[in-house]
Amino acid sequence: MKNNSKTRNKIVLTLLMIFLTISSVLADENVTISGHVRSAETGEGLIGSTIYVEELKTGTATNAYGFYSLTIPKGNYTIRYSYIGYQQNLLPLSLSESNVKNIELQPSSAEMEEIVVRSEAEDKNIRVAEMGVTKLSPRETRIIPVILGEQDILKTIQLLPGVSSGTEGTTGFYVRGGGIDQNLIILDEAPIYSASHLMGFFSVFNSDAIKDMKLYKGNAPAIYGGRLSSILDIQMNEGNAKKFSASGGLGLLASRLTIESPIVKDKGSFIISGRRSYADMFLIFSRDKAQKETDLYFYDLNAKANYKINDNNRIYLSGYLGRDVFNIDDLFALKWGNKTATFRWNHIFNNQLFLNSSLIYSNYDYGFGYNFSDNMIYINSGIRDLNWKEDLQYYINTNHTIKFGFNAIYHTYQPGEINADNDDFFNSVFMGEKQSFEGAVYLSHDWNISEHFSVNYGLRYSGYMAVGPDTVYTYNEQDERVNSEAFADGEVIQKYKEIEPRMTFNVILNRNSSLKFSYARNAQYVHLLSNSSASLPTDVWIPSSKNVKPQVADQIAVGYFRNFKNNMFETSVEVYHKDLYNQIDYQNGAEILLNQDVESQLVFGKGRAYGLELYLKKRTGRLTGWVGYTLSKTEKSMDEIENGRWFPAKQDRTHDISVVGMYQLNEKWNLSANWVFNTGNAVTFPSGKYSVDGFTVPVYTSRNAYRMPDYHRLDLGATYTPKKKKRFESSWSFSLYNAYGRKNAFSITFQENENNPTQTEAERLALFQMIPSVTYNFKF
Amino acid sequence: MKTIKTFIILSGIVALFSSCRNIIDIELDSIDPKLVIDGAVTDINETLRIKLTKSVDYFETGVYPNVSGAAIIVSDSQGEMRQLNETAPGIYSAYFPGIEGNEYALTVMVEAEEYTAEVEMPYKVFIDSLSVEPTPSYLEFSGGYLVNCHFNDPPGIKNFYRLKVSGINDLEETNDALIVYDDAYVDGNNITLRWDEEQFLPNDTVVVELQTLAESTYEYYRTLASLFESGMIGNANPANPITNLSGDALGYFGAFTVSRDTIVISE
Repeated sequence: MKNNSKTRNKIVLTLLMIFLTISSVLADENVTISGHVRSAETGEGLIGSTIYVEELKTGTATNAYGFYSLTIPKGNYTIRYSYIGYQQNLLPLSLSESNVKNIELQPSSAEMEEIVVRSEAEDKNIRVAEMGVTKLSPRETRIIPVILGEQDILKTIQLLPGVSSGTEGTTGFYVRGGGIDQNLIILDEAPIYSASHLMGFFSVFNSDAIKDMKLYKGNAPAIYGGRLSSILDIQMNEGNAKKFSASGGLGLLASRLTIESPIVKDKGSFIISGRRSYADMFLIFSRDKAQKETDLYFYDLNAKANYKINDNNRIYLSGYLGRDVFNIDDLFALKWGNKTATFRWNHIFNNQLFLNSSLIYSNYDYGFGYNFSDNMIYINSGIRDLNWKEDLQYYINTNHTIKFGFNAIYHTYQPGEINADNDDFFNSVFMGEKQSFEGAVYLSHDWNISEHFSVNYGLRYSGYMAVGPDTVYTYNEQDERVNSEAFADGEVIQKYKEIEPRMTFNVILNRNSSLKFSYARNAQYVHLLSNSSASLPTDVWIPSSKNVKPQVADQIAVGYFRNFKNNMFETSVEVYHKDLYNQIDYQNGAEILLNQDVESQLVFGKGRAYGLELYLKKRTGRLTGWVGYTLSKTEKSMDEIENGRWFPAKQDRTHDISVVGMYQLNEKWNLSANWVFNTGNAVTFPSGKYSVDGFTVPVYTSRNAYRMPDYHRLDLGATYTPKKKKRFESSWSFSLYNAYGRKNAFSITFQENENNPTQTEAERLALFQMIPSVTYNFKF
Repeated sequence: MKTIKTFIILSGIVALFSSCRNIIDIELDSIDPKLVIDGAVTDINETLRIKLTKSVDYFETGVYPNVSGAAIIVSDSQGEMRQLNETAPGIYSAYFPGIEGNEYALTVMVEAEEYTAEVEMPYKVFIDSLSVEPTPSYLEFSGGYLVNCHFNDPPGIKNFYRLKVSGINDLEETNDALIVYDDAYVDGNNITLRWDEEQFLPNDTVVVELQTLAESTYEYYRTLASLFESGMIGNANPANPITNLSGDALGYFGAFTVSRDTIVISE
């Protein structure tokens, strides 16, 4: 441990030295221009728009709030502001002193996109020292066909290389072999613990309320942390600061309505976006009484407001509320939902130093009830987070940007509470709350070393502390409690810490190609226990504890990036290797539900994942889209499962192919199609059978040794946009999910033949064959 | 109390979408036949029977080869020890009534291998009464009556139960439901277990059997029952049921007490 802390001090010291050196090289001859880049249509900040100095062949990009800062020598320049889907703005500037330049960009119409000269900014994938990153905005993905016509960013990211989908039709996803709980999904910085609606068939993200999202496949910069495999950073729309506008959609499954308006023109705005499903309305027509009495719906509400106090201060308040309800008469009930609230304050100290302070509240509660001999019994669990973040960005000059800050989270877990209608029958139990602190400090440095080398490196130092009151048990090999230790309120039960270095090195070979190397270590202090194949609220989140160590992963990746035809085509080849430690699995026959001793049911081990990702994207022209291919292997090894033999993880898929195409037929019609193929998931099937006490019992030989059948599917879509009438725009979206009706196996059940019990058979359950849908969207 | 039959109901949601079930061909590995030991000490049968068979490949016809020529010894914590005789091919028996609180040890020697198991006979819990109620509307069948079994769970000790209910004429039919419970969260309570698997009609005579299981027997049944869940909520990591048998044998050596009662359904 001693050596460890010495190394740590050394690293911190080195970073500090570099930081100081850079600060001192700031020449007096330099001036800074800074400001915000916004949309002229809505007044919203544009995230990641490019600011490029023609003469210096260098530039910068706006941050998550649309802010930029550029420090360059005095002189005369032409500065180009550009953003995808917007007309670029060329600004001649004679710079003799520091200056604030707020820029508004006009959106470009579809026809214009054809003729706009592609700017240097389009080769960001080549120049920036980041890997395994994908940025998407709902605008770009609007016409990709989806099931039941409900736009879903989580469905879109499953079409990217290195990202694979969970069970059919669900929003759960796996990134580079990591588990579903190893993805951190943040909505305006608030963690969303369960991103699924309706058993996971829909995500909680209403695409009308989403502005931008960025997915990091395990190589995130030091500002992010807390999960091993990926960070999905989603930003909500801010609301139109120019004029009132409303938009919405009517779909088969759900309808949406969004209103946005300035609070004070160009100073503040708000947006409220709601969505509700009405699948259960169809059930009224059902002849089955139980189905008639079924409630099955979800709703979401997104709201956000921002207000500019003065040029240097702006505040944002955003919130999300979503809920799922599923009741079958007096038989069964499921409920879950997230509530989040984020308060943010942007403060510009000076034209080079930007601070964002955030206070974040996040609550996820989940529960189910069932009828037990005519008594309803409810089990409720939940997580509550209070989170404080300070993030500073220091734009030293075009070659150096420093980001640093800290983050402190107070978690409260409620592992389970049992309520019975009739207390005489069922003892109501409160399993107690578990509290913990999770904190991190980080520093990262973006450094353009020369025309050919750039690097992003940084360090995140995270720590975790479980605190009382709590009673902690230790278990023997028979899973029996052997010792208990009681901790008082606020008493430290267990501490963990981890140094997480991050580094991406970019070698720019020429204008069109680059080679990147990256390494990242990530630590994760919360874990999801799931024992069913669907995303259900019966899955349990548990914190790290005396018995459960934090998960840690090291990932290295190498990639070659090459653009063709003036950046019309973007291609990449990336390979990765990931080692995972303190991975969690269950013993065979584990009981995780309603189990106070759930930790005794867990086994720990390691994992490894490696793969190759190919990506070809056509960005411009009438036909756009991409082809992604992933070749990968993901394995686990647990001492207590088959003596540590490496076995394939459930999500292990050898081949995974996605083809996405969008074609602008004419001004009114947009066509789209996507096709996916993947090797079936690893699964445990029986090999033999025997008979005991009249039951036919399957014999299993080894875990995940079989494969589900290969999966493939074609979806088609078309969007019809009639001519805009005054301010009123509308469109019709048609889609056909699983167009050739492939019977993909959702599950395979091994069972006795009903007519001949001596015969056993395999039954495939296939969902969703040829599901058509139509959605009407409007905006004014 | 954790019920084993979780929410098969959930698959109801699937009906909302177009779904279809088909029998498909799948290739499964062939495995070496394994020894299967099936037997339990009870307080209702004075004769202890142990059945030895072999497993077969999954898609073979369910005819399980009997295993003859084994030497089987059962002893208890009172010092009783008996060798079981092969009374029919693969069936071994001896006079050995189960007594509450006694521990039983099994040794099977066959084909040059030795298999052992131990189990403790639990204390008996008696059925207090039975009652009948009309089938509530939310079940998949209706128009008949369901049977409730009432009993008092002894406080302070862990208990494990299995409920078996059938019409008096169907006693010999094989079970198709395996319903087991533990007393977590209901310890010491006056418990009602309702049989939701099947409804009965007026004038039916229904036999209710409440078995109090040894913990290892419960664990075997619980993990076995979880393999019967299917479809959307299928067990994500199916594995062989947890057995108290040593070595590589399948099956279990169980112990349970039985309390039985009958009721005639009246309107």
